[in-house]
Amino acid sequence: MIFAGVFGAECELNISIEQFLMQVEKKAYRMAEIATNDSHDALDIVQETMIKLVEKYADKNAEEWKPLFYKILQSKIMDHFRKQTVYRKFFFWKKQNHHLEYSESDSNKNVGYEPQNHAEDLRSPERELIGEQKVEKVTQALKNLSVRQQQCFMLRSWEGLNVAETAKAMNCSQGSVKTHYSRAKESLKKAIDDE
Amino acid sequence: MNKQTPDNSNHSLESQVNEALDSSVDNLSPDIRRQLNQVRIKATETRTNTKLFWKSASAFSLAFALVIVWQFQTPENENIETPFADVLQEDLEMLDDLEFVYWMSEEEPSATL
Repeated sequence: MIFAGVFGAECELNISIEQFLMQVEKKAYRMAEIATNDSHDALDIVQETMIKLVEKYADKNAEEWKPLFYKILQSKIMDHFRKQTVYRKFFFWKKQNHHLEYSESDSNKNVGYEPQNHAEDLRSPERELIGEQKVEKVTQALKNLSVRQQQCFMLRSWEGLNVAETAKAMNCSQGSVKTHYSRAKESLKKAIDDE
Repeated sequence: MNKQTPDNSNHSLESQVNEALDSSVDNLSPDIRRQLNQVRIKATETRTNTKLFWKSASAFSLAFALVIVWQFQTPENENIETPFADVLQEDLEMLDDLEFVYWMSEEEPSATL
């Protein structure tokens, strides 16, 4: 009876974290895909994030999962760019798909950026919708931002994290979060209004 | 004049961006959805397998410890007198009798009423 109770409680915990992951997986994928400009890399990042959260922090309270999840996600995205930087140094002659340098000082620098059809992973019938153009425009504008600005904007505006939670997720100060967010808004407004 | 306040313009911008992003998520391809599903299942299975192993190991260790403790417990033994003491007592009495008998046998020729 003791064993059944223990295992029953464990099953309930797993269902809860699985439900949480179901809630955040699509947004996390989109964030990673906008950052990396590659759906395979984005899926790898999301997978690593989920595995780390489940292995290390599943025992935490459920309300801690969201900031922890995004902290891990941001860390994995930054790791991805660090690996890309090293890769680029050794294989500099190879063509790169990834468009943004990871740099705190960069604001709108694009390195080797090649515009892609951001709607390519959308369902085929949906591509006929007018809204696809809007999605394309917004996604394009986000991808033109630096990684820090785009991630900060999405965490604050889209995911609804407050300044403190965003700072924790991005491993930076609250002042930096406000700066990134402000600059991101300026750039987005300019990009969306200009077209 | 209806001057758009910074708050309103920012709200409008954020709403536009949020709506576009929501739409992009809602319209993810079935292939991406399937892969995300697999990724999530793989992550939660890793946790389940690890926890199940440690739970089983803990339960087994507890049961083993209980068995060891039970094995070392011994019941209280009653004090049993060794039969040797009885034999020894009996021998002493027998020796006394023998001694008397020998004495009698030595004294008998000279015994007078």
